[in-house]
Amino acid sequence: MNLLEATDVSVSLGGRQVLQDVSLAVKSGEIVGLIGPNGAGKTTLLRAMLGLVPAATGHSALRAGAGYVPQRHEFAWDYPITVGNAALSALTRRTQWWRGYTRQQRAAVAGALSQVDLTPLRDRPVGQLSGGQRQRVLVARALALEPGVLLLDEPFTGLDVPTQELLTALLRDLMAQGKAVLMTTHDLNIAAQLCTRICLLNGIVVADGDPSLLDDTGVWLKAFGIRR
Amino acid sequence: MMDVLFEPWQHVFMQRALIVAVASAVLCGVVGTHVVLRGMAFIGDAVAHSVFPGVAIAFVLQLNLALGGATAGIVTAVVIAVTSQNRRLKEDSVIGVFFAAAFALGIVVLSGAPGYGGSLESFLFGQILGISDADVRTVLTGGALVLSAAALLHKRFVAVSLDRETARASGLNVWAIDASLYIMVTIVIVISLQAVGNILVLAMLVTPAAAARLLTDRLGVMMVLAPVIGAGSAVTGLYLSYSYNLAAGGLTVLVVTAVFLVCWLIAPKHGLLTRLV
Repeated sequence: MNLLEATDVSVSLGGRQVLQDVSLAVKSGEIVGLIGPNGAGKTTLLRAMLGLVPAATGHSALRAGAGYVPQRHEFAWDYPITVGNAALSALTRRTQWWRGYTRQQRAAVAGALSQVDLTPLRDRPVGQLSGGQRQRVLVARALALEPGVLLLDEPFTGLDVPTQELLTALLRDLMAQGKAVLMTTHDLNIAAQLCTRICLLNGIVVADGDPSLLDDTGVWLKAFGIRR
Repeated sequence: MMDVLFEPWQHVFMQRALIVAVASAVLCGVVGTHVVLRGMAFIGDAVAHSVFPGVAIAFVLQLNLALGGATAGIVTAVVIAVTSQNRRLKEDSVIGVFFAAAFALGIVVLSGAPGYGGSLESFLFGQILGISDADVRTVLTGGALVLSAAALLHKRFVAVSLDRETARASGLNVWAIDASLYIMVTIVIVISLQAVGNILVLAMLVTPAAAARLLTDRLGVMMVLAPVIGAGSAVTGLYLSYSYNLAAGGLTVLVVTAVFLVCWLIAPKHGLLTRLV
């Protein structure tokens, strides 16, 4: 079943058409890699699918709870908050104004932190974390929502090898649990190893298929070589 | 020795001043913590300036000055919240446009009103030693409302400050949360006008929270430290004002600035000297 679906989505930002008639669906148990040059509209597509930017035409559908892992610079790392509370903040929408977080919510966060190996650091202020640890905080925050769909924006950028391996194993785990994963990346090796499908984007969908299409130079030139 | 310390507080006007100063400092500390962590000190400045035309118009029409100021401040806060959702213009430019215009409007309105000198002075520099019982009640009621709102909205303020986009993606109404924070800032500023006046109110909002940030990496601790620093400075300022017959608002701000400088130099972990040693 398609848990995440965009149909003929066009988006303009500041007068420039960023996406044109983009259709993309992600099924349960798939990891789809969204690949394209800078400015291709990868982040915009994620944001449109989450309803954060309005689509001029077309529509997108989310058929399960979504967890969003934005690029690391979107988060205020200088905020005085611990790793555990940062992850807990994901659940704000689901709390009553006058109540604290419930025991189940705290348990979900504890589970999410242990999935990304951050349990020992749960009381550490986020400002003291390394880049890899910060990426894991953002993933834990999304997992705390127990989402059916996970959208990740450049999750592998600037990670050391152990953190890459941890994240790769985690995403495979989620796939085995039947979640749908969509991630943007510039790392073609990881995309080839990890993703079950690749979507090449450059304003339009240039190609969508098996990871082996990354070996096809023609498709490649079309995605990266031709500026619209 | 103790007599010297306690003597000022036996006067009723000093007791009222104490209540209002401490209440303002506590409110400024709590709300100022969000202001400092969001990096929106400039919004505080804008709201403080935009309160001015409201007070001026209320003065000319002989209406309640605090209510006039609050109305103008809230209108400005909402306009800023709406306009700044447009990502093409940065918040600071939007604010720069509005707050100067608001202050200009206040000056023009007041210049047409005869006999405004005294009110203007107390508005600009505070009137902490001339507070009535009714003022005290207004401050305590308004303060209780703001503190309750701050407690109810706390988790939402934190989520939006951490990461606006993800907060929006999770279904939070970021615009309404922003607007609530701006409105709270406005009310706190209007409440604190009597203590330190329009020009210095920004110091009470920002300085104690900034000093507290240097002392801790915990939000909860910061929210306790900022009101304590503000209240301690306000009491010290009042005491010095009584002893040396100098302006209370100005002294309070100088004391809190001294506290900030000390924190900046010797705060554990973050202090300038601490890091050198």
